Amino acid sequence: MSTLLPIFATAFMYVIIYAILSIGLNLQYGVTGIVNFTYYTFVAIGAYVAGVLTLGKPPAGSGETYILGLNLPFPVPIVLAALVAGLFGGLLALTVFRRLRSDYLAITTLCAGTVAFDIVTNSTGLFNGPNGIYGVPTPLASTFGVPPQNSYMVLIPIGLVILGLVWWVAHCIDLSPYGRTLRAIREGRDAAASFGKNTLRLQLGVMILGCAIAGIGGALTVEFVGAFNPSAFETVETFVVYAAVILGGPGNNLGVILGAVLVQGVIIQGSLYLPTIGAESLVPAIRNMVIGAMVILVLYFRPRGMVGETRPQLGVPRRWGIGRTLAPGSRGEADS
Amino acid sequence: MSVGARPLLDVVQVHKSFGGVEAVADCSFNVVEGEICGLIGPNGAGKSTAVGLIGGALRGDRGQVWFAQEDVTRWPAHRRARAGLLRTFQLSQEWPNLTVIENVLLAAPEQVGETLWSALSARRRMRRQEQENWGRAEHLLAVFGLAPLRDQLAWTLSGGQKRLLELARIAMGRAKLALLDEPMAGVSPALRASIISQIRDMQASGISFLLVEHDLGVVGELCSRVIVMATGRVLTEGTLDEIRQHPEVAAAYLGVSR
Amino acid sequence: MNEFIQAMGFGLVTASVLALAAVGLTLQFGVTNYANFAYGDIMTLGVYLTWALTTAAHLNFAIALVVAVVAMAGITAAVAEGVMGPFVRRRSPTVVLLMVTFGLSLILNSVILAIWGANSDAFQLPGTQPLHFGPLLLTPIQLTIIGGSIVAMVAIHLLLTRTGIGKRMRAVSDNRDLARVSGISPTPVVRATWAITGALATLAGVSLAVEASQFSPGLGEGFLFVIFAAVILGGVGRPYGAMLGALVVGLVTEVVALWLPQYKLDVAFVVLILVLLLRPQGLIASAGKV
Repeated sequence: MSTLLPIFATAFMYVIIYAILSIGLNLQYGVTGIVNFTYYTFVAIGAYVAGVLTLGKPPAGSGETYILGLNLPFPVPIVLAALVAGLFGGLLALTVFRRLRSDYLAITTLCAGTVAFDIVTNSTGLFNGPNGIYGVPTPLASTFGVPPQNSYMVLIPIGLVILGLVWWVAHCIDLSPYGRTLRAIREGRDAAASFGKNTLRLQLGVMILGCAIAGIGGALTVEFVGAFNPSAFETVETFVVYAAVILGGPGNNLGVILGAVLVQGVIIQGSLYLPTIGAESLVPAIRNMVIGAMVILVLYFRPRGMVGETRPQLGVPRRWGIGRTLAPGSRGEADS
Repeated sequence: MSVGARPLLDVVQVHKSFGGVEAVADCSFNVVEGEICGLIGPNGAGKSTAVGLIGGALRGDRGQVWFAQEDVTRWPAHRRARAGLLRTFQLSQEWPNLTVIENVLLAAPEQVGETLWSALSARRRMRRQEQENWGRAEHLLAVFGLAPLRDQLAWTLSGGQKRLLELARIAMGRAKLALLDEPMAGVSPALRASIISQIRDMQASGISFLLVEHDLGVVGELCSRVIVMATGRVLTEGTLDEIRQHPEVAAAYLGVSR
Repeated sequence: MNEFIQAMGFGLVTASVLALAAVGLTLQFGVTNYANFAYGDIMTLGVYLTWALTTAAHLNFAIALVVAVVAMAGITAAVAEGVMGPFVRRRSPTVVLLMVTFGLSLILNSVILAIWGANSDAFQLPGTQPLHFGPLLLTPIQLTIIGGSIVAMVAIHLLLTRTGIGKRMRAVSDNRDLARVSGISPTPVVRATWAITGALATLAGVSLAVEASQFSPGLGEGFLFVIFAAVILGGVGRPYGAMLGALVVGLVTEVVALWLPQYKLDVAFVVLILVLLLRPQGLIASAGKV
């Protein structure tokens, strides 16, 4: 019992974080059809910002260098992490949403992610370079007298509250004309513009919102793990969140939470406890092959994922993401 | 420029070239309130480019577009649409994975919950308006004979049903002027008559039309006045009978001129 | 001044590597009409295949490279046919096609990691002693890369202008519908394009690995954004544009390296953003692909 509880609590905390991330990415990819191939960079931005805001100044003689170090109390770092990540998401969107096809957006996001990675790694003064930041204290741990190794005791409740809030926002969007308009942009941008929708502004808003949610997830990550460095945000991390969205059900907030449970809770956390076979990198490599193959197979055989997008019916308002499900069949040929 | 004297749509010396090819060359024409005006011409005459320029999908090189007494030349497409200038496309542009009624609902102007903030904060007002819009959309679906297809995904519709859906969206959007780019393309003969009568009814309810169409039979049935374009220029205008007499029109259609 | 000339020399080497990669990527992007995010990993796989042939099979480097290029042409065409083909035939939206290539990228990278591990390896080649050309210092290896790239570019030019399949590739890339109407079946064209892409990716990957003097499974992925910058600078689907884009990006990166060596590749991103904002159709204008 005493050994199993931390294992399950850790897995559960990661599932909460990935559920939050999946909802944010779902707004971009599942609902609006924006391909952001560097989603996890915004998680990293959130993690770093929350980290350096929570930490104090780097101790003299430690050799660590990072900006800020403001020692701010919970929950200020999380809020500011969301704002900064959203701001960068908006800046990226501003440069690429001007009449560009989805390819160009995907390419530009990928490039921006690589560059962000290089900058964080090489500018040691920013976030302590390749070593990253560490020793980030658990919020409220001292208030409740929780020992550091049991940080999940405070973070699981905090994470659940945040997940609830994020889900509520996404759910309101889902049921509103706003959500309908975002789906129309996914299904045909020119047609949406021809019916009075300011597609540029709407896409910009979704980039900001989704990236801000990524920033919140990043802030929770750094407060849970206590450390963050460049090895934590390689391209594969973005793919894992996509896997949760695509396997769970793009366009359905409950679906993507299920996807997060499957991908993060079962596959990734589960594979951590597999025996090591061969080289150290072999198990993660096989795990990634499985995730990649699952995504491709689901895209082909079940494009609506486990749950799928639901459609409204008069008199039967969609509640809790359950409603009449999308008729079977492939997506149409629309891509503007 | 004197204000108040302009027709509903006034296209003044509009010009657009693509890589040196003049698709629309200093075209001027107008659409008067209440009329169904035809725009015809052979392939490559620049009709669809003209529709793009009027709708705002394309930006002209020079010239002006006036709509409802306002210079909309520099307005983006969505702003023109909000002013009541709605268009269809040569290939129907339904939103394929949304239901038929959602397609219609999307065209409703000035929806309350259409921004993130109002979707979260004005939920009661949003729900009330949404109910009204559902009612109106259902009514329109019944009018356009699409009621049984209400909850089907739009990509499952036939070509003609998609055209009817486009008209329903335009009615829902409270258009003042509708630009229809070949509304009969891909329509089965069975639905032709229905589309023609729908357009007439919409005209009676106060919507004006600019109708780009190949089929002169349809043009003759609907349009009181016809503009003829060829090689990016306005050749002539008048009633269909008048322009049939015009020697250059016959030549342009047969491809002999110039 | 000498530093500057030397930087231009290195720029030529980078441009040569980049040209091989960018032409391969832009041909496929133009013909199939979607971006391929697995391209970096195809390059890396080509490198590891060559390496395995020189170490495990004890082949001479040149022979190993030729075998790897041919094999990668086949492997790339087969993977594209087997994985992308079903989605293309179903007319999946571009967004889905992009996701599939992204998934392929992860799978290929994991395959490389599983077989060869995460450590760096290196080709043991002669010709690392620099030669003097006035103020310019280049090794025989670097000269071979430049020469090889020029030969490959000429070969691509001849392929596109003198052979039937090359002309059909250009036609499909320029206007798919028109090509179909004129009786060009896209399927064999797409297959040939993927094969050429695989071959060029391998050449580019090996050049990159040799030039960098060592390589790891992240080799191609880390370089992919520079390739995309050159492709978009030149205009998507424009092989000659890609060559020009590669030259510009290659020279710019090495000149910037004089001041900011650790960020030299990142300047490609600045180039990309500028192109997207100022001239999204690329240096060589083309209609319809924006």
